[in-house]
Amino acid sequence: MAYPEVKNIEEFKQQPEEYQTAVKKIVRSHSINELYGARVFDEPAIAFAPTPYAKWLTCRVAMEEYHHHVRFKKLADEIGIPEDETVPNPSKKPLSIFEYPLKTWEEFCTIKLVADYAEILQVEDLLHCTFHPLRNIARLTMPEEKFHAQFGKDFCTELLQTADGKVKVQEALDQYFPYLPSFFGGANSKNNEIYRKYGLKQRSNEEMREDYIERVGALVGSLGLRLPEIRQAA
Amino acid sequence: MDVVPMRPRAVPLDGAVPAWFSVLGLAPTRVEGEDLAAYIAGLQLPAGVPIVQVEDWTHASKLTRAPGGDLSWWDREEEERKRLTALVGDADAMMKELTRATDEIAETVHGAAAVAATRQGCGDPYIIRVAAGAAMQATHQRALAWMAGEAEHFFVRKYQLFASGHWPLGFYNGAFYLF
Repeated sequence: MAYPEVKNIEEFKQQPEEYQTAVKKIVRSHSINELYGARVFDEPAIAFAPTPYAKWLTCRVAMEEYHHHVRFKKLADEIGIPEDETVPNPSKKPLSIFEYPLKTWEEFCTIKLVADYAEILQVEDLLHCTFHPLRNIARLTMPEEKFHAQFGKDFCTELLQTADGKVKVQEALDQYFPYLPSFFGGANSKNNEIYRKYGLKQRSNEEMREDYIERVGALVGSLGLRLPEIRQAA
Repeated sequence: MDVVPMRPRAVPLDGAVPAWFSVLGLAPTRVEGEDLAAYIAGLQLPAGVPIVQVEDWTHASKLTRAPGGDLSWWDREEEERKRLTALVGDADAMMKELTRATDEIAETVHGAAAVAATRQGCGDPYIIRVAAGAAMQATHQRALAWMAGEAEHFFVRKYQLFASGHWPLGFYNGAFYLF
């Protein structure tokens, strides 16, 4: 039987400890990763963008990503997550992809193309979450994430018009893509099992990862690119 | 000389409702012309630089998107942003205040850009976001100048142009373009 809908913070506080802990893990993770993404990729990309058009567009994208963090952080505050757990903590290792400083505009466009696609799948899985405040944030965030991925596709398409651009985009894909499948968490994850038990998430990590690789493979294939071999990354 | 970090000043709420993107394509008034002159002087562009009025979104898009342009005016703003950031010093307090200043207007600015573009028959989601990004950057820069205690900074004059309903597009091909 499906877990009942939890419509607000008051109802959330009446849920079992395990439910509350599971929601907090999801909210904490999104809050931190949205901020990491904005700081490590989007803000630095403004300097690499080649025209005022691309620079202002990247400003807007960076602010949207930062605003996603603000949305998740606000919810984190409401459900009682301590503030220092909702922002990047120097003592805690981030996802591997955030450890490599952005160096070029081509890298940024490629990250938007494939990493934001991974984010879309993560957010998509929350669209029918039993905890309505989290579900609603996912629904608000989804159109912007889709636009960011489209941005990646359109700007990569532009870069691919030259031989040099094609080499650089493929190099960026080779560098960054291998870190992305681990975005979806480990196989047979206990956390994921709990998320599905409470209807917070719909799919297993393995299903999402497989779906992601298939969809992103078709996407990059349509642009004349290829996915690199996936190595194990933390 | 060592620069002593100062506590960031709160960005004042001036009570005036910004008229985002409301007079695009129209000639600037005398006061707007003064704001534009102060902004151009702040960018250290040559005195007497010609002002070109842009009349539609398609032109604004083509102009700002053309590759290989002179970005020295953008770099000048970036230098100032870095100088003001160093002057403010307290990074956490500054970030909170800047976030407040830009977060409050995010949806309004985007909506205003979408409405203005639609009125001219432009439904391009990219240029709407570009416009919103430009207005939010100006808001961010003005807040930063305020926090650094430089209320007469050229970032404030640039913001005034946006708040009046224009979009200063920048320096291209030897002229400054105003939408």
